[in-house]
Amino acid sequence: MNTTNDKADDNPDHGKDVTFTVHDEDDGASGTFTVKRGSSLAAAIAVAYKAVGRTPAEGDQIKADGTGTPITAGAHDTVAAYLAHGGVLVWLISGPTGGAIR
Amino acid sequence: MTPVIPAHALARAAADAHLQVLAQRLFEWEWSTTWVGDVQLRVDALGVRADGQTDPYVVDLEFSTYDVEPPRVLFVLPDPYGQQPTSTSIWWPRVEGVPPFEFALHHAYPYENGTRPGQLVCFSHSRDYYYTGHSPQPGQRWQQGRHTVVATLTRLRHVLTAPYYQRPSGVDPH
Repeated sequence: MNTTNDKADDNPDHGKDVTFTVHDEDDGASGTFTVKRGSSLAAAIAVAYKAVGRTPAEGDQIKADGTGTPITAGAHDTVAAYLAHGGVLVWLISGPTGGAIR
Repeated sequence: MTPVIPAHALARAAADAHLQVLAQRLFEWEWSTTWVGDVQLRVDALGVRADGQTDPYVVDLEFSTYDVEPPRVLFVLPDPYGQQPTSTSIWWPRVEGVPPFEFALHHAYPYENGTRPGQLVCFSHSRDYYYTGHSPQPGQRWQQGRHTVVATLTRLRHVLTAPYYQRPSGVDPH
């Protein structure tokens, strides 16, 4: 389990931990990681990759389980903002997939 | 009893190990898998509509060249098992919209080997994709050790879920 706390601020809620589950949808690796709610979303994504032992690569997608919405779609700065706007606690990482474009 | 071909035994062992990694998620999705041959796997899957209603599908995965290549993927009838559904079958899903990856279902794709047009589940984690004139971009191509049958099944799960999944293509039981 990894922890990051890269964004100190005055919001007491931002010091609380939040735990995510992440699945690598290319090989099935799964993991959990815990970050502070005040952590930047970018930092949380970096920890998510580490939790499944994966190196970020061009074309990767990191999506919310269930909705399939990209984690970065809302352009939220922090994990707290992401969660406040309906963010989910299970993330899916996958590499590019080729095929016909419908 | 038919002797098991060693290459098939290796393919089966790899597939079994990789499926085990996905077992919990398959359970959560209410999907199940059953080996129906040395390297032939029946996947009982569900299409999930926007209103939550589910429709059963049967996907046949064939692993003879796994995991050098991905499994062959076909939507099939449950009975007689393996027969390909008609284009208006309850066993042939209607998928619309644009998933967050390249994917298409072709009921009758013009294969280049001179055979009759056949079904093609067209994405780079399906073996037939590589034998139908497609040119994957870097990073898309199946990589042994990087991709497993998990990649095949998770992509199918995405397209069999709303908003992409709509309903069966028709009411034909075959």
